Amino acid sequence: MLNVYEYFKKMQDDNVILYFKGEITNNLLTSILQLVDDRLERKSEDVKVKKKVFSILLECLQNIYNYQQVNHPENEQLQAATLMVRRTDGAYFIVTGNYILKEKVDKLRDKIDKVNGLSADDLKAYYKDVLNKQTESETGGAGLGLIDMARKSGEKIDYSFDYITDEHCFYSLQVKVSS
Amino acid sequence: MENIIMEGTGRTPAIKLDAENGFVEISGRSIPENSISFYKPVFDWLDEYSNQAKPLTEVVFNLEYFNTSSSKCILDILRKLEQLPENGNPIAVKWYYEDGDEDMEESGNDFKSLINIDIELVVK
Repeated sequence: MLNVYEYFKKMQDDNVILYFKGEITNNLLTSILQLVDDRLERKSEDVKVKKKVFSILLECLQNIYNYQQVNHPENEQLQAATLMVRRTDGAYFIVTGNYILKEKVDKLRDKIDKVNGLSADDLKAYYKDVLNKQTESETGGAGLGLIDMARKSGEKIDYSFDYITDEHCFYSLQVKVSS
Repeated sequence: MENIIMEGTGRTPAIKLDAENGFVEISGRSIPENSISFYKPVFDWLDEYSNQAKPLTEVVFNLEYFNTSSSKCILDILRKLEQLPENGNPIAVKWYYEDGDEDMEESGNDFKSLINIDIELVVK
């Protein structure tokens, strides 16, 4: 049989408090958020921290969901994604991974690099500017997700792209919330 | 015109649009995957209300969480409300946030700086 302890031990060592792999659906989104909400509540986490973790997680999951609906609506395998929440002594980490089309990589990288290069004040101004322009991004969302996450995190967004096939990439994202 | 009362769910806010008393309230969680279709009835109601607004319209935002796609809709709602005082019908807008929730407070300030009506920030 599968070595369950090995999986468990690895997650324990990496301070993983929540792990999920599978297709992100709308109902699942509500359940995951409920679960995280309960856990943070039980830890009597600070309102500020709790809300940041929740909001960032929400934005990450909705980004993945929206992306998948548009880019691989029929492909179950490509809709599989992963989500982790890690808690260390001084911070929470929201970690996600999902497949994206290779052709989207450059644009996405530029977006994150831009956001990572801005100061808190510039991020605020950029957020308001995008909000004010009223344009819809290609996935139907407001295009504000990454900016909002960066603002709430106050830290640089970590990311990487693993090249899987000629067509697809695995996109990993980590957002930190200091506690 | 008709009032609109909608119960809140895990993903959508409770909505109260009361034309007789000039009262608008949006409270709870606003995290629907399709915010524009969710808020469409609110936009339509506000368009109709603007033609028969009460002498004072009281507006309350009391949100626990909202996603970025809802933020566009909230701004659109405020833009529609902005027209009321321009037509001589004053409004009073309150933005509630939980004590310590600095992001929700900041959001209230963001909206305040984007529109021409005053928003009173209130700690719960």
